[in-house]
Amino acid sequence: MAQVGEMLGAEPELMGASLRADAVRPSLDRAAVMAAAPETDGRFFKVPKVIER
Amino acid sequence: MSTTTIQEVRNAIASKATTATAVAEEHYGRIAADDGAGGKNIHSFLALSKERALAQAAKIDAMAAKGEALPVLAGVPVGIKDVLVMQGSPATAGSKILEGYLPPYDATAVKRLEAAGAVLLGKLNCDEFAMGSSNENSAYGPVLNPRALDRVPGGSSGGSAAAVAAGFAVATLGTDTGGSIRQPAAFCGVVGMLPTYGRVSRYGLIAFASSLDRVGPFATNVRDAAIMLSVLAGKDVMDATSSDRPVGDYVGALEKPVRGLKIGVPTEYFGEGLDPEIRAAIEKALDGLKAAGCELQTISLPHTKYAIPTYYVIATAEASANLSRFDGVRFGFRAGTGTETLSEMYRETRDRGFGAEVKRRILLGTYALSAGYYDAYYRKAQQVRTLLTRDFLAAFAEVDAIVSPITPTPAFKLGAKTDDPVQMYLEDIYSVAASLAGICGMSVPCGETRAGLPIGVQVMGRHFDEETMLRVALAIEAGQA
Repeated sequence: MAQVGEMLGAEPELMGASLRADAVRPSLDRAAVMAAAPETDGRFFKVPKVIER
Repeated sequence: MSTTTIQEVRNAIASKATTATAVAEEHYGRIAADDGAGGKNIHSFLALSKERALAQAAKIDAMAAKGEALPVLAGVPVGIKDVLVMQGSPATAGSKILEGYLPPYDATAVKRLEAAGAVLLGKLNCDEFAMGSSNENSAYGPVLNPRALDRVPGGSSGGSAAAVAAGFAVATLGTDTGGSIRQPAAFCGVVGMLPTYGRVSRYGLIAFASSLDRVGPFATNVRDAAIMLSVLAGKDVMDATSSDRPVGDYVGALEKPVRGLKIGVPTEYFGEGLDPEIRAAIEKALDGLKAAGCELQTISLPHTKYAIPTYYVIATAEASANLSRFDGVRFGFRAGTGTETLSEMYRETRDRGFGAEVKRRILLGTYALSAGYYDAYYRKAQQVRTLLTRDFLAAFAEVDAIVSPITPTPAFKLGAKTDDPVQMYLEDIYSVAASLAGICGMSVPCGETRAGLPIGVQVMGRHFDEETMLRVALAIEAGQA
């Protein structure tokens, strides 16, 4: 898969001066995020029934 | 009232006259004595983060004991407005809808303060989602003005201003969307600064209106505000709207004299409705600047009269989008018994979780963005915003800073404006234009009314020219002594 930087590399005028590297960065710990939710199974947020009759 | 400064705290710890732990305990003691119902019931803090504060204080004390160089905010007790998240401390944004939410991370501004040695005392009361001008919209009860306990501290950062005025903290963080730092600073007799849009990271700020929201400091004096800004300012990879423009030397700039600076005095800010005692105090401050060698120049910001309607369209429109995330799924409060459908749960959660003013603004904003009305309201407001910005750019081609009132009246009594939202919105008449234009502004104490209520004067500066603004603010402060 082409990286954003490579794609734009062909058109340098579109390369923003501060375009960041297209690299994976650490994000918030999933367990910590889920712990703050009203209802969760630890992997997903749980919500009431979506389909109404 | 405490007049301790950042430098005094840091020096006292460095010279071993005291310890960071003792300073933190002393401030917690004052909070225990006067912030609660047993004392003056100022109610500026919503939560204390004592464990984290004392751990940080111990770290600073260990550095001092080893004779290590101390960081710029070493041991300085600081409070955080409860719209900025702090890991391990509840974040409510003054709303019931976030009750029980423990954020899993620190806002960048919070992290930067702690990295500079600050001791984070806790989370400060504010209007719900920073919507209000008196702190009376907090779901957890109002804050009292330490300078006059029957009066409001201003808002929305009322707790942040009151905590500094009461000596509970040496400095605090607030946020300003339409005046929420500058107005409470004026009401409580402290310094409050609105940095330029993009100057301070907003990562970890619970968003109200994203094209307007800014994070800034409260302090007892101009130098401390400059020190706080020097710690807070700068690019943050976690906030794409933060600017990579070089950070100025805000403290160094204070050494430069103001002689020769051109100060603009906008006629539109001295019209009807301005309290005569405030007018007199600001004229006196202007005379002081003249005596210090500044050149005063009358200027016009012709679109000023459109600032409030423009602001209340843009801010509410953005709020209606930002606040859609509070739905009882990912954080905070969820209403219901578990037997209803998803849409019933959303409705119930938002109906019970949000207060009246927040609902009013969500409704107004949703209306302004709705099909058929978007062009008439939101788009038009954005166009007027450009005109307001051009007013300032034209003025700053002529002058180096602008000096004006920040509030039309001194702090009003609790309950005085709660029945009429339009009266409350008019509180923002001198503050919202700078918010819409993205320029920097600050409020500096410049005397009191005969009844002893503090008066603030506003200094506005060019985009990213906090240095000149701070120099003028310091000259005004020096003229008060």
